[in-house]
Amino acid sequence: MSEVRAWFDRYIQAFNQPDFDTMIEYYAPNMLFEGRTGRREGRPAFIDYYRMLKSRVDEKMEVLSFVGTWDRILAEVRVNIRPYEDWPDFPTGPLQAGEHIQSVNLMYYDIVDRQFARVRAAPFSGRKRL
Amino acid sequence: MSSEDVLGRFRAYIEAFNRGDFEAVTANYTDDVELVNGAGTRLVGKAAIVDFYRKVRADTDRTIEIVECFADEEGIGADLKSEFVATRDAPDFPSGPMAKGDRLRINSFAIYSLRGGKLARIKAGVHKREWLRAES
Repeated sequence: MSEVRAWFDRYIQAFNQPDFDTMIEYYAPNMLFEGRTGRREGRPAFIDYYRMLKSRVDEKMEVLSFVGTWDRILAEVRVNIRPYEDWPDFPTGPLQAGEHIQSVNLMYYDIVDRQFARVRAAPFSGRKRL
Repeated sequence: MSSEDVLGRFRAYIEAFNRGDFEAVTANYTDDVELVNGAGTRLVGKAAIVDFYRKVRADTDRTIEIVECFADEEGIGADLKSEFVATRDAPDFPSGPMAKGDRLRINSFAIYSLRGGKLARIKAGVHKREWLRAES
C-alpha cells in the first residue's frame, strides 16, 4: 500500500468513527467542497456540517478503487447511510429512520501540504434503498 | 513505466479517441476491459466499447479535453471535459435525446485501473452537465 493510500485510509477511518479531531487535520483552512449535498467553504463549515450530519445519520464510506499522489486523489467511494431519524429535506432526497441508502461516488481531492484544499464529488451510481 | 510515460500514453489514447482511431484506442485495453461511462452504460470487452462509441460518433462530433490527469502505480485519475455536437437527430442518445445541432457539455471524473500497462477498468462519473439546444 502506498504512503498516500495509507494516509487517505486514515481519513476514511476517522470519518467513519467519527473522529472529528483527526478529520480536521485533513482539512485546509479554506477547503472547498462541491457535490450533490451542496457547496461548503472553510474548515469550520465542514466540521459544523459533519457534526450535524453524524448526529442524524450513520454514514460510512468504503474505498472501492483509488488513484493518488500527494497532489491529487481520485477515489471510487461507496457510501452507506442509515438515518437515526427522518430527514425529509436531506439534499440528495428524503431519508427515513432505519432505512439503508447506498450510493457510489467518484471523489476528487486536491491536496496542498497534506491537507484537502478542494473536494469534488461526481455520482457514479444513483442512490438505492437496500 | 514512469508516471510521465503512463500519462503520455494516456494523452495519446484520448487523442486517438477524439479522432475516432479505434485501433489505436483498443490497443490500450486489456482483452477483458470493463468501461462504465458517465451515463451509466457498462461495456465489457474491446468490441463492445468500439460498437458503442462508433454509434456515438455516428450521431455526434465528440471532443474530450483533459483538464488534468495524474497517475500512480495502479492507475490514472482524470478530470475530463467533453462536448458532443449532434450531427443528426439522435432520439436514443445515451445521455438523453438530441436534435441535430444540440450540444451537450459534460465535466466528468474518470478512474482508470491498469493491468500490465493497459487499461483494464474504467469508471466515469459526471459532475457537471450542460445542454445547449440548437433552437433555444
